[in-house]
Formats: sequence, C-alpha cells, structure tokens
Amino acid sequence: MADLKELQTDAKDLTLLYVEDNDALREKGGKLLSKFFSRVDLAKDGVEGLELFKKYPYSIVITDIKMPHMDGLTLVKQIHSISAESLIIIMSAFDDKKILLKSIKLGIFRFLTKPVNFTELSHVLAEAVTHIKLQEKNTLLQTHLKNIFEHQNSMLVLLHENKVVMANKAFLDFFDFHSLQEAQEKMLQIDKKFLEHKGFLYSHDEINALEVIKFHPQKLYNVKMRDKNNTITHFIVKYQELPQQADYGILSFTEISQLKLLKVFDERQNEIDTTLADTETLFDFLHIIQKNSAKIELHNYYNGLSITHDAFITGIKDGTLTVKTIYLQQKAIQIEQKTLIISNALPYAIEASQLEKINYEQQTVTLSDLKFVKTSPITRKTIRITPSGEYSVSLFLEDIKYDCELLIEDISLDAVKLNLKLLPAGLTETKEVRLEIVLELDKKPLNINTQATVLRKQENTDSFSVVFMFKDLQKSGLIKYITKRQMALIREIKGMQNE
Amino acid sequence: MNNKSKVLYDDGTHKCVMFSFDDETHEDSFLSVNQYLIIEYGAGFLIDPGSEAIFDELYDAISEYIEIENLKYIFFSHQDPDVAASIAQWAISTQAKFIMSSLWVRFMSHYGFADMNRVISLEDKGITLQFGEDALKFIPAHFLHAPGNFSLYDSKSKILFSGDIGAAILSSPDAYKKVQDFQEHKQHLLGFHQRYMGSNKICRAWVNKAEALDIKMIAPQHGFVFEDTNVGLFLAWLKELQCGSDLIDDLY
Repeated sequence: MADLKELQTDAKDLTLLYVEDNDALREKGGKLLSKFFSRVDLAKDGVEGLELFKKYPYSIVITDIKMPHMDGLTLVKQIHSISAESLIIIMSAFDDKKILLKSIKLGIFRFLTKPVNFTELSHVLAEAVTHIKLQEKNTLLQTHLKNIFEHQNSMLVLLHENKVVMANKAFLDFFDFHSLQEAQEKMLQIDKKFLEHKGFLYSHDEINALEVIKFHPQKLYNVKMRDKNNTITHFIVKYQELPQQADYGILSFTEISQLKLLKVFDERQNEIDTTLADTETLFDFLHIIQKNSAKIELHNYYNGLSITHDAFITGIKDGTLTVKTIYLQQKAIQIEQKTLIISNALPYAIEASQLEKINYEQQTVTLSDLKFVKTSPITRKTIRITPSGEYSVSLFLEDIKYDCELLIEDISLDAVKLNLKLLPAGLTETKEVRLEIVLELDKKPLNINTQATVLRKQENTDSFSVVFMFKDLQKSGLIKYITKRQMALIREIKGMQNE
Repeated sequence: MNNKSKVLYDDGTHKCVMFSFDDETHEDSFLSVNQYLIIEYGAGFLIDPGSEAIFDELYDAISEYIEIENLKYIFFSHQDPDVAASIAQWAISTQAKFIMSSLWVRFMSHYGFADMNRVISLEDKGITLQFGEDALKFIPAHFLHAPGNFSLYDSKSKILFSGDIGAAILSSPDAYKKVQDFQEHKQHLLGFHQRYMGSNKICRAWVNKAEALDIKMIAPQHGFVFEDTNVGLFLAWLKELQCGSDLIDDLY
C-alpha cells in the first residue's frame, strides 16, 4: 500500500483523461482515478476525447481501442500530433499482436489487456508518474542551465568527456554555427581552435591545451581563436567542473580583444617593456580575474623559504587591491610588507609593494603600489634559505683569502649569495673562486669546500651582494642541511599562527 | 646496475624501473618497500619515493638512469611516511612537480615541505596526465588503505602501480621480486589486506576500474609484482576479499 500512498502524493498535481465507451466501466474507473489525480476527465469515444485534449493538455491519457466515431489508435495519433510528450496508456480487450505492435509504433507508454485489475493499473500509473516527474526535472534543469548559458556575455560550452553537449548563442555565433548539432560535428577537438601565441595556451606536441585547462580548474588562461570572419580574438578561458558530475564541465571564454592586450604579450616576446609601467593594463587584467572569480597565487619569502597560497580578489578600488587568503600568507605579507601576485592570465607577475591593511578576521589584505615585474619566484628553480646558528665562510680569489667579514644571505644546492663589505679587485662575473663554508648540522660541522663562479653582483647601500654558483659540489650534506633548516623555518612561521 | 633495481619495461624510448630500497632501521618489519621510476625520452616520473632514510641511495640509483634535473614529476599514492616523508629532500634537490590527493597537500608541511606552488593536487575522480607521448592515468583507490589514495596506470608499459594494494608482508629476496605461485603467495597478502583495506565494496570498486584497463603487470609499493595470469588471479582474489569494515566484529 506504500506504493499507492506514493502515487497519491506524486500524482496530485497531474491531470488524466480517460476515454472508454463502456459507460459502467468509465464511471467506475473515473471514480477510482479521481482519488489520485488532481483532475480526471471522462470521454465516451475518440472524438470527444480529442476535443477535450485540444482544450486541456493532460499529463496522462488512458484509452480503449474499439470505440464508435473515432477508435483509440486514431486518437493516439491525433494526440501525439498535438503533444508528442503526452503519456498514453491503452486498455483494450483486443489481444491482437498486430494491434499491439501498431500501438507500440505509435509510441504509447503501456498496453494493458482487459480485464485490468487494480494492482496492475496502479503499478503502470506509478511508472507513468515517475517518468513524468523525471522528465519534468530534466527539462527544468536543462532550461535552467540554458537560461544561465544564454544570459552570459561570455561564450560558454558544456563539455562531457571533452565533447560539446551544450553551447550558448554567443559561442555558436562566433563560429557561425547554425545549430548545436553543427557545433558538435565541427568541434570534435575544441583545443585545436586555440592559435599559437607566445605566453598563450594552445595544443602542440607536448601539450593538450584542454587537458591543461581541466587540470587546473578555476585558473585562467589566455587563448586566441579566429571567428567566422577570420578575425583573431583574444579570450580568457576557464574550466569549471559541475558539482557531483566530474565528467561534465563548463568552458567559458571571456573576450578581451577590446583591451588590446595581445600587444602586451607580443611586447614581452620582443622584450619591449612599455607594459611594465602600464598601470591601466595591469588593472584591466585584475578586473578580468575578479570577474571570473579566478584564483591568483600570492608569493612571499620568509628567511628564504617560499610561502605560496591561493587567493581571491575581493576588491579593486582607487589603485588598491584587496585579496582574501589564508592566515599564514597574511602573516608572511605582514613580515615582508609586500607580496607578489601570480596568475596564468597575467603577462608578468605583479608586485604589490605597499601593504595598506590586514584584516585577520575577514582574512583579507589590502595592497597598493602595484606594478608588473619581470622577476618571478616561479622562475626560481632552487630552494634558498638563510642559515641559522654558527657558520663561517672563507673566500679564496687566486688562492688569496679575502679577509673581510662575509655573511651568507641565502644558500641553495646550486649557489650561495654572500654579503661582502668590500668588493675585492678582480672579482668579475664568471670569475672562478674557491669557497670554504662550515655550517652546523646536528651539532656537527658540515664542511662545504668547492670551486665556484661569480654569477651576479649587486651593490647595496653599504655592502655588496654576490651570487656564487657552485661547481662539482658533493650535494648530499647540503641537501640534509637545507631540509632541516626548511623544517625549522616552517615550524617558526606556523608557530606564528598561535600569536 | 646494482641488485636493488630492476628494469620492468623498456622499448627504447619508454622505460619502467623498480627500486627496492628499505629503511634499514626497520628491516625486521618484513615490509619490503618498492619505489618506481618511469622514464620517457629521458624525462623521469618517480612513484612513492619513500622515507628520508633511503633518500641518498634512491637519489644515486635514479642518477644512474636519468639526470636528476630531468625528474619532472614525483607522485605520492598517499601520505604515509614510507611513501612521502622525503618530499622536502626531493623538493630541494629537484625541480619536479609533486602529485598527490588533494586531501594530503596541507599535511606535507609536517614533512618539511612548503612550496605549494609545485603541487598538483588530484581531485577524487583522478585525471589523465600526458607524459611525453603517453598517458598516465590516476585511478581512484580511496580507502585502500588511505582515504585519499590513487593507483597509477601507465598506458605504454601497461603496468598498474597499485600503491598499498597487492602489498605482501614477507622478507625480500635479492632476486627480482615477482610472484611465482599466486596460491602460495596469498598467505602473505591476506593479513595485510584484511586489516588495511576499507571493505569488500571498496575493493570491488577498484577492481572494476582495474578490469577496464589492459594490465600486464601490477606493481605494489610493498612486496612482489604480479605478472601475466597472476594479475587476473589477484584481481579475482581481491574482488572476493572480506576486509576492513566487513570484519568489524573482530576489531570492536
């Protein structure tokens, strides 16, 4: 009986038409069906049934076959020409296979042979109601999704296992596709439409662009494509998986050609650096990122240790940028009083060198003095740390020991940056020297004796910073040292979470 | 080549190597540990590199096959120390990206690792990664045993690197660690799988995924590899195994 209760609940907003020429049967059936459906109308033949249907599109029609004026099969045909979705159940004393086949061809929902018992009928009605509810749900979802799709300015495609299953008008228009079907046929590999451009995402021998986008949902990429008129258009593209439907995802293309940013990437390619000073372009990019609710990454250093976490832009106003990030990153920004902003959508990293405000409760940081910078921690290939505890450094140039104070600014497996009070004569770039460094590892001395070459020199206010690249260094001791030091630094900065 | 490494597959451009470095301080545990390296055109993909104690040996052993700077990815099937504790050392000594379940990313700082920029975190359903010309598939293996856990299928060699699934507890011989007689080997699998694997339902979900792949070899993180017919025998065994919550009364 639980099924009947369910039927009563589920069918209460559905309507039914019962067409039967046997008066007694029609009346009895009508009474019974009224217990379940919100509206039940009765008709004594096909003609009367069709008239009623034209006035009122019933959810379910039950009909006899053999009736005066218009038989049941003709009625089925007529109803389907008005509404292809109507569910029709045939109840007939005909036990003829030909008629059964014919009615199946007409697309009826079920065929019941008279006499029909109540259990059988209620079972079929329950199936019909479930079917209708499911269809309604799907249509609602699809309409909802379609509405969302059509109301976006961006070009949107819904992908299922890399195949296009839905596309909005903006997308179809861009390629001059007249239907979704045409888009599906011609868009077998959407990433092949992405054109080659320095700093942009496109598929080539080593990269499948679509896989890259899907691999990093919520990240933004620059792509360019040709439209129906062969015009090259610049987009920011993003992929978003549908919740609980990992095989489905939406690819959105935001057109930004009007910002004329292609030249920014071209200039980067040609190393013309007018972009670096272009604050307007910088904020254009940040607005695009914010509009797409895309992630950015913030980079800071704590005693050489790289501290990186995701962030979202929550506000852009009067040359300031507010981002939301985690406590550890906030703390690192507070210590450094600045941060570096990274995103695939940006032609360069952005340095925000003025800390305006930190709100620990809301997890936000407001920064100003933003500019593009050419250096990026992403290009830093090795982990550098500042040493702790006792250490000593000796520098030999042409076998002569440099006898001023030497400090280690940072050290990695590949190089050490030393701070020198005075620059000895002859310490030119690529010059080979010998270094003897003694660090402390597990309360024992760790000796690093190696040849090294000068990579870079930098003049500070009252000292010089010189980077020496190690040559033929036995690395295992230094790996241990840097690991331990890194662990200690992590503990230190994590400890700040409790402050 | 030393006797702690064994080439499992080599077609000239694509190679899979098995290493068997144990933390000698725990050798009495009989849980011999395997590490794997996939090489394609000289680029390396390292699987479950293990603890700090074996870092030096493994580093040197890998250097015999590829230049360390060509190690592109390091994959951790799950978060255990015998899988991932050396992450900080690898982060310092390579430029590789680290791939792991999104569940474990924030735990890596406990192993002294901080450079989150180098982490590729896997969502539960896994993904396919293009590696050179071939595809590496990350197959969900959650609760077998870690709640965030992945196996890795190499489409070229057709080896399924199964992490703890298929692990056997037995002392390791010097020779190639390959299952000879599955019926005999079962005894070494049983206790570990009964205790460590989540439930029969979960085993079945993983076996169903595995059966959809063309597998020539299953290579676990502990114990011996399964080749040819032993692959099917192992999968059939695992499919029927009662374990974890199926045996809840034994635990509570």
